[in-house]
Amino acid sequence: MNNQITSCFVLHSRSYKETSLIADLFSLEFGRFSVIANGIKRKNAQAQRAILQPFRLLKLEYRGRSELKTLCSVDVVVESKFLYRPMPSKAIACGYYVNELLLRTLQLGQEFPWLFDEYRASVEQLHNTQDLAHVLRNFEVSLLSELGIAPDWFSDISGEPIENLANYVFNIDHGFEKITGPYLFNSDYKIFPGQAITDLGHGYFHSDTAKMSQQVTQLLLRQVIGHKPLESRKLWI
Amino acid sequence: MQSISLLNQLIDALKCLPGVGNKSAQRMAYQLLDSNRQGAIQLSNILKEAMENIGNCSVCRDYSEQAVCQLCANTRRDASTLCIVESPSDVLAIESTASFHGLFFVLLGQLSPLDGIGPEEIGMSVLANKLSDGVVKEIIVATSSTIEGEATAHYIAQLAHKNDPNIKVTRLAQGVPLGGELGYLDQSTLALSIANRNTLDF
Ligand SMILES: [Zn+2]
Repeated sequence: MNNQITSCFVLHSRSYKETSLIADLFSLEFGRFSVIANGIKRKNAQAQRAILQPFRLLKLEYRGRSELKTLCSVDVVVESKFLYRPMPSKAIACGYYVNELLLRTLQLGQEFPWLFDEYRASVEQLHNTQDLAHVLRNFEVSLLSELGIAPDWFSDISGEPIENLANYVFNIDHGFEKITGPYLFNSDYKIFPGQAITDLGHGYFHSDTAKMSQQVTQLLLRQVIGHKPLESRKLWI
Repeated sequence: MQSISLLNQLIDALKCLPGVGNKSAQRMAYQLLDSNRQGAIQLSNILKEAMENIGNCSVCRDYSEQAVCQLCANTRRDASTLCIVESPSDVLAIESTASFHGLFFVLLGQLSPLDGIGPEEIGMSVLANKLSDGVVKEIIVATSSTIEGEATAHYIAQLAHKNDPNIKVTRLAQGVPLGGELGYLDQSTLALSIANRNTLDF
């Protein structure tokens, strides 16, 4: 009896031997897991190969109990809005970035149904929007929440509302801390305007602080992905 | 302790050939020993020579025993059109169509950042260098129609435009294969064919 996955995405795949692929998947049912697609690079399997691509909502059947499952069949989920349309090429680098974040932060074999829906929505938006940075920031915030390390975006560590025009530093154990006067010159800490922080909570970004919002999420994500740079960044020209 | 016999070493070595497992390697070894020692000696000589002397063309990165390959050195080729392919075998495939008269650039892979294959690994600095003299007016990107191929194409287009905003960058047409019946086509290809449809002249 084959096992079924109703919704999943390929995060990454790599060649295995001459005609096979190993695909790392993110699924609704089981979170991250890997399948081997035997013979999928043969000529007669080209239709399957065309389907087993990142950024496409897929359903599949697999067998096997070991960590690496064997793919039996794969198909596109028909009701998905971005059905067969390829990802616009300028969005691909962003897609890779999101995939790399998941590969670097999510444990294998643990389910993340809420994050899966957020991911699905983000991929859909990357297909449709011009404002790619906006999609990335919102996904980063979702990921931080799922990982349990999202700080309070609206109140600082003393419980005061974060003011758009004030400056803050991030205190890893507690949250954002308002700074005044002489601390401004302490270069050990990255200083963020309040607006860059509250925008992350609202999911709406002001153009003048969008860059700072990115630096906020980058700093927070560093807690889980460490200092090793993300490979997908190399695609930014 | 027993040393491995020459025969077994030969069988083992033959397994480095693509698609050759233990069984076929045995068959090959016996066949050569039985009936074609001369051919095998010739093969081993040329194999050694080729592996030691074939490098990459410094201009297009295709395999070549000279610093600049014959194709790049051929002044009758149209140097204003550059076709960018993933592998040396793609050069051969396009040459066999006799429908392209420009020059080639071989990536020797495709962008796959998560596997550590970034722009540098696929020769983007060599390409940037080649483009800087302004001779190339059109780039035909002939990468695979996979996500990696698409990412590679996009990167090349950006790089080329940065160097020369007027350069023309095209991509191989994607769609219904010649003699292909729609019923056998996968949906992704079919959807792309509809998006990339052509006007019929009459
Ligand atoms: Zn050459």
